[in-house]
Amino acid sequence: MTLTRRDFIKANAIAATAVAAGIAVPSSASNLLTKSSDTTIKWDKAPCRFCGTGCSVLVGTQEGKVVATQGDPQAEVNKGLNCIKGYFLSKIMYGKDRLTQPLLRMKDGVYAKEGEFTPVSWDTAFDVMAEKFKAALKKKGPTSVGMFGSGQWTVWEGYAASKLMKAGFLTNNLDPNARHCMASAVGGFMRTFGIDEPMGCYDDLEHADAFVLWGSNMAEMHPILWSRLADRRLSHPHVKVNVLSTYKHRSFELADNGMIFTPQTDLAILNFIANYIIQNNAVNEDFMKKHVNIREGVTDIGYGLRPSHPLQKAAKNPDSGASKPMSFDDFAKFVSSYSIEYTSKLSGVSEDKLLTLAKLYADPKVKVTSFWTMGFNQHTRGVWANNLMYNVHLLTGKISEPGNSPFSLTGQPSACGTAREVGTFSHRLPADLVVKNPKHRAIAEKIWKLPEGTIPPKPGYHAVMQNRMLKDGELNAYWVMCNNNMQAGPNINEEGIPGYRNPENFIVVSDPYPTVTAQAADLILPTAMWVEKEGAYGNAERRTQFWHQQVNAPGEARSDLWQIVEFSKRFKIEEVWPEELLAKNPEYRGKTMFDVLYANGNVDKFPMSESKGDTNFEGDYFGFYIQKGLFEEYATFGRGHGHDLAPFDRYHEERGLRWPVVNGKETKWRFREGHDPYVEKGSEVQFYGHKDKKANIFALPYEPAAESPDEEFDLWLSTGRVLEHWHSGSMTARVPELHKAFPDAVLFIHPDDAKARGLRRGDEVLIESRRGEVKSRVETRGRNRPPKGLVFMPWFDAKQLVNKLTLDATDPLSKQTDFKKCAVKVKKVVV
Amino acid sequence: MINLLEEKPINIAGVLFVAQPSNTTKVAKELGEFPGAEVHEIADNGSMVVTIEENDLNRGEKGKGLINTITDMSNLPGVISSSLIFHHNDYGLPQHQGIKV
Repeated sequence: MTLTRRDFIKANAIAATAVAAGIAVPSSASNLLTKSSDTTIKWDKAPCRFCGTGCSVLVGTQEGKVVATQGDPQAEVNKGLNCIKGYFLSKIMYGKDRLTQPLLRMKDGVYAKEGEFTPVSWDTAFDVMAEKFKAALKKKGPTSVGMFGSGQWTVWEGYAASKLMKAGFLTNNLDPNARHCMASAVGGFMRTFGIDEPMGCYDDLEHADAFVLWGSNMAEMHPILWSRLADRRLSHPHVKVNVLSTYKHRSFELADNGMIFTPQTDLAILNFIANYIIQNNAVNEDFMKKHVNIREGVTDIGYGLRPSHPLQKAAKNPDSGASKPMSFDDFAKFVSSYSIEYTSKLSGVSEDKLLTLAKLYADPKVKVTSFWTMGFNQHTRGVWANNLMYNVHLLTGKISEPGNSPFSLTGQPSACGTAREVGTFSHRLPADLVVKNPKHRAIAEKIWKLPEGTIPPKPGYHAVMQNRMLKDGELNAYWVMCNNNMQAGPNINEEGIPGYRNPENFIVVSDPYPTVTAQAADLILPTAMWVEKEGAYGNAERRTQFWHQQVNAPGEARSDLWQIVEFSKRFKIEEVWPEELLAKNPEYRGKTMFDVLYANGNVDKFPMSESKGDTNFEGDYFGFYIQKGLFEEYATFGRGHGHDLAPFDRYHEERGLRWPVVNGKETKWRFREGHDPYVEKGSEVQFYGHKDKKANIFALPYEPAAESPDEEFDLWLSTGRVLEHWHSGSMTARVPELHKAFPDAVLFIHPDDAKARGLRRGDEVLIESRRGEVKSRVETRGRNRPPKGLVFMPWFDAKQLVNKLTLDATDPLSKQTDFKKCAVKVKKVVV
Repeated sequence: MINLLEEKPINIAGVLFVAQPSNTTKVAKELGEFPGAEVHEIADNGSMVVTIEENDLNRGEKGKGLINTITDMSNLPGVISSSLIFHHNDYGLPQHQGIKV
């Protein structure tokens, strides 16, 4: 019998799947595998390119192309599993419309805002770009240039960008797309604990007795964590799964207690649980006394809209995050108004379901892990929602130990590693330092070998503000990298598109593909992606993971790192720094930004001979091991300060390590003695982000959403992702077979709501909000089942830009947009 | 003998599906009915080892393609989780695009 290559590959598929399932490999497959080994495929590890779970993937390359992927059996995160988005990993780099040359809008051979995209050389691209940045700097100064980056940047790309903007161009107008995703979680951590990122880790999944999903459809969005959770539930019958959402989704398949609540009332439910814990004497008084302060937060803080917006004018304390100390008795009194009757009526969740949930949190014998993602974070009271969640865990002391864990999950592969830890936000510096604090600026200036006063003290424009400032003509030279904000950002009709197309502005977009955002730009730069470069990502459990470059990028596509560093050569330091700053460091005169920021003795310290990868385009080009130099300089910020990272080379050997890594050892549970080396002996728990080593409980009320349904716009609109598409679909929607099939987003609606509007499944509908309109098709069945009064629409589809509808209301504290709540009306399209 | 020189491009995924253990017989049967799908093993803990291969039944205008087939299988009532374990797809290689190497 002649066996084919197909048989052999299929046997591999069966064997790998059986091993991952923990069952014996069927003999049909194992017999075949022992007969031969496929030596033509070269395997190496890389973290997955998609979400924040941080699965490790084995990548198989052949003849310079990725041809196979496999869940990495050695990875602690995914233990050989991968979610079905892994299907796209071998394809994301090979879309037919992959960009391979810079494209500049031109007319009659020169740049023109209304010109046609024309291929140009990198030299021409950077010439025009540098001219525009220099013109803006000269005319209006550093606040007129800016950059919108990414939680998908590698660690060193974000770090290089931060240096370019904050130390080179002297502007804090740098923000990541993670603002749309994680900013409320960051705000919550900083306010409650004084230090960012979860205290627990994924190991909590194997220790918890109860799981609570708050605004997280884990089954579709974090399928690998979901499979670990399902494993725990199915193998330990006492484990209970609670799912809260504003509509029914796939995670309800496993829910013991599924709850649909009215949008925004999560705030009330959280306060009810706190009230229940207090009323039923379930407070861990010893823990509270030793480790927790109570504060009363300022209320009525507005909705992060333009100051001219009526809602913003009506707020008593717009944008205030102030608070003052409060006694336990006053706190108990404050939450006492959240009775079960009131909360049930407000939220629409039955009393017995609320009670079942509250009892789990209150029972000292039940270890509870709470997970949340965008339901809490994309919320006009997102920081509050995070704070209130911690209240519940702190009141009972169920925190920082295996299975007891309030756990904020991330959506992007390096939202933690790059956006948060490197601090590519408009107010941040690496390792939780902030630009407002003069001591923090001094630390950064010292590490970066820069004169005192280099880094501007005023926070720059955050994501939503950047679009507003583009529209207003205040931000004029703008670089968008590694994101698709014209599809992802809110209210693009009124803010985004007018901003990008404002004739005063020059917009550069770096991307592997001609996304909606790229098409709105003036210059498009083709970008290398994923294993076409050496990289590092940091996942949601503080795990830093590295990979080597494994294939070459097509054509002239170059990594974001190359683009940032190469562009810096176009500026003499005199062109970006004022004379008074130069006078403090006269030896920098005549040098370029590249010399000052990257050839500074730190970043160019390591020779390429130290590189263990087969290939490293950037290292060879610049003549030094730039990734290592950037990483080691960056790691200086956190070592010895609770953010310790291991030496660079170690990460290439590991499936990632969870920081702080002290004496070569990672940390699984922070703040807990015996787990965290920063906690002093005999102290049990120390929330050392705050000086007194205590965490804060905040008294914060339920306040209504920025926009709720009314007579005219009579439905809630919630937006989100689906399993098989990742975010805006710029990578996953490029697979040719999808174009033929059914790639279009649909509007999920309750059958009664559909009927009342004369709609049937599959009908074309017009969805209107106060800001815009979009056409879609009706889906009354399928995976998402909204309750009456709410519709859900995914945002992956570039042909149906749901963000023409959404409101740019943001959390006033985190500046993160609420993509989950606005009011729309739906009617049939009559042909 | 294994003919490793076979030139036809191959697109195969190995997917682990999980259902409630009491429900696997029913779910496995339904999974096996999807075009290109084969159920190889069913474990006591609810795990099912399944391969899905791109073939004439799921390819082209008539079919939904491999990823949509897997997505539909994942969304099947009774399926609690699905994990792609292994994926091989060499359509991108030059010899499969009519380029001589």
